[in-house]
Amino acid sequence: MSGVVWWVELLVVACWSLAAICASLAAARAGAWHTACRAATALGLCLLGGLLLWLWLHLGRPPLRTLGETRLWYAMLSVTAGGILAWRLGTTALRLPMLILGTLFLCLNLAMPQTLDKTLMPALQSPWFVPHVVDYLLSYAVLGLSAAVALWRLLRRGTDVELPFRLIHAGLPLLTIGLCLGAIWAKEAWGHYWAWDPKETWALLTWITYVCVIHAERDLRSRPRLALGVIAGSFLVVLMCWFLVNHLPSTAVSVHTYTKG
Amino acid sequence: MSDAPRGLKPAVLFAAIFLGAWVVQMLRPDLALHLPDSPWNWLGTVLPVGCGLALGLLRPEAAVTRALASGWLAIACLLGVAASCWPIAVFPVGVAAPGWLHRIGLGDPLSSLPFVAALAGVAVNLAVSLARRLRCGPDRLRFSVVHAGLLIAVIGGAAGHGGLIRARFILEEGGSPGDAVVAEDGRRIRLPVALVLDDFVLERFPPMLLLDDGGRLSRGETLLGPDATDSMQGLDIAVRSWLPAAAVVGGRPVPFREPGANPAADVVVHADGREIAAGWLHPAGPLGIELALPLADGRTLHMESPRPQRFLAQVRADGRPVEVTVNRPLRVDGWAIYLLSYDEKLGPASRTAVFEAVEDRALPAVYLGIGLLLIGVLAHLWRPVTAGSRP
Repeated sequence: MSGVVWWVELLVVACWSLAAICASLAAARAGAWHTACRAATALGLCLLGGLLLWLWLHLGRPPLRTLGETRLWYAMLSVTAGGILAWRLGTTALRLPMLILGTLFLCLNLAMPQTLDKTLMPALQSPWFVPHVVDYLLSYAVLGLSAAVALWRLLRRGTDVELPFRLIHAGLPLLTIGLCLGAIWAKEAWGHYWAWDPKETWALLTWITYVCVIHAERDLRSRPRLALGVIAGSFLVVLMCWFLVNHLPSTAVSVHTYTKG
Repeated sequence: MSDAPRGLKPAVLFAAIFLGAWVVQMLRPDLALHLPDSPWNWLGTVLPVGCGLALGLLRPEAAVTRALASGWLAIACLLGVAASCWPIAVFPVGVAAPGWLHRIGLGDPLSSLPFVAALAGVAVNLAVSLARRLRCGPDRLRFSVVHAGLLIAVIGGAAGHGGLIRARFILEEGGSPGDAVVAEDGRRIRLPVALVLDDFVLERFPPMLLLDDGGRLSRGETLLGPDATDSMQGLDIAVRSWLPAAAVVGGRPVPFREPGANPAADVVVHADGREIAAGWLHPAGPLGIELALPLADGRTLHMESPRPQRFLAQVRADGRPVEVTVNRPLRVDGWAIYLLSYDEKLGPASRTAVFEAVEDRALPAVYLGIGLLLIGVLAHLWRPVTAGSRP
């Protein structure tokens, strides 16, 4: 099973790498490159969506349990959300960041092949599981795009902060929804809507970070380089909450240890 | 200082108060602030927030109101919360917190003076800014709904914590009915129903293979059973015989149909099409020792203990039979009784179940706050997603 997953991931990486090359060329010459970029992106999305659907049916559980499985979702959601937001906001500036983010997270899976099994611990067998985790991953995808755009502009000595802030205005509500859904689920499962578990505390720290960025937006807009740096750096807290928390001493007392692996 | 952000002064003032609170906490590391029991807990939280609301409504343009409602004060207070609660995110506080955390006053972060000061700052800032902007119009409405939701949830959570009753207890199969339990704070309390545990049921997934390569463990992907096959690390493993419940007698597994008995599998291992090992696998458990299969290359094949799939307690509440499972607590008269755990050493043979009874009178307030917050953020989400202007 993991062999099939590895090969499909490789195919998607190939599609999106091709799409990224087309997107770079489309910046100089419009027309056929745009179409090729869209086609390769859509093909990769179909393959990845099909893989997730197949895994869901084959495993008999939502493929959202391990870090490797969440990276698959992240790759799909960053490209999907990036595409929708680019269309709604009428910008092409998201095309490369979304493809790079999606490819990067699939490459992590290629480098660390995962084992997949059908087990799912009792606490995760809840109707809240899928909406809570998918919403969180969607928010991470949108916030990741904001950080990628900010970093790109920072490196290219750009000063336009409009798009990264727009993305945070979309990502923070999603983050808040994920936090609320998690609290309601925790109350149903354990009787505590907030237990200061290490993962919960990191989720709060992530939320605080982005709430602070939004509250400082007006002043940060007048210092665009600082704003881009703050937006790019804020994503480190998301990564801490998602991956790195599993390597901290606090994980010994966490009830979220099923996210390891 | 001419281009300093507007509203920075109250943030600087708060930072000074916060640092002062931290110094006091460092000088008196044992100082712990807890909310009193109900109804004083409500007074302690609603009073400052009520004052903030009154100030924002009656004197919206006064200098002190503008200072208390400033965005930078919100940032300072939120950073204060983050700065005082981070040890929980990093260290196993309450279990094995490092000594230096106590020395810097954060041995028990949630009852520390700086944390309480920061949380109070957040609540007052929310109340004043909400009251100042309680006017209609789509933007103001979104702001008001989000901030009102957050404020209600924070008040409900903080005040509710003071009046929360939580009692963990163990029931044993066949025990006599009981409704008296000891709460977390040592008080003896009576539950609204007398409970008896009739049966505890643990269903498990079939086990999986585990390959030990000098301490590095790799897990198989297949749930084992009759005729199951799996491939891992260049090995092809096939099950020849399967005992769904077994015990090890004289070094060999024999059928043993008792709750808690683990399965056993007779497997054959091939590498490059050549048979390299064959024998029985059985995980260690309460009813027997482990049988593992050493391979010629120094690796060892094990059978992992089956993982829990579902556990439930069949209880009688005042004589009425009910089933309590994880994610589905028993609710009676404002109490919720959760099934938390069981005797994990015995697994399916466990005759005891661990429950927790929780009475949280402030829960409706918290859920009202969460509901408003969700409505508000959905409205916020609608705006950037649907805005068509080119960034």
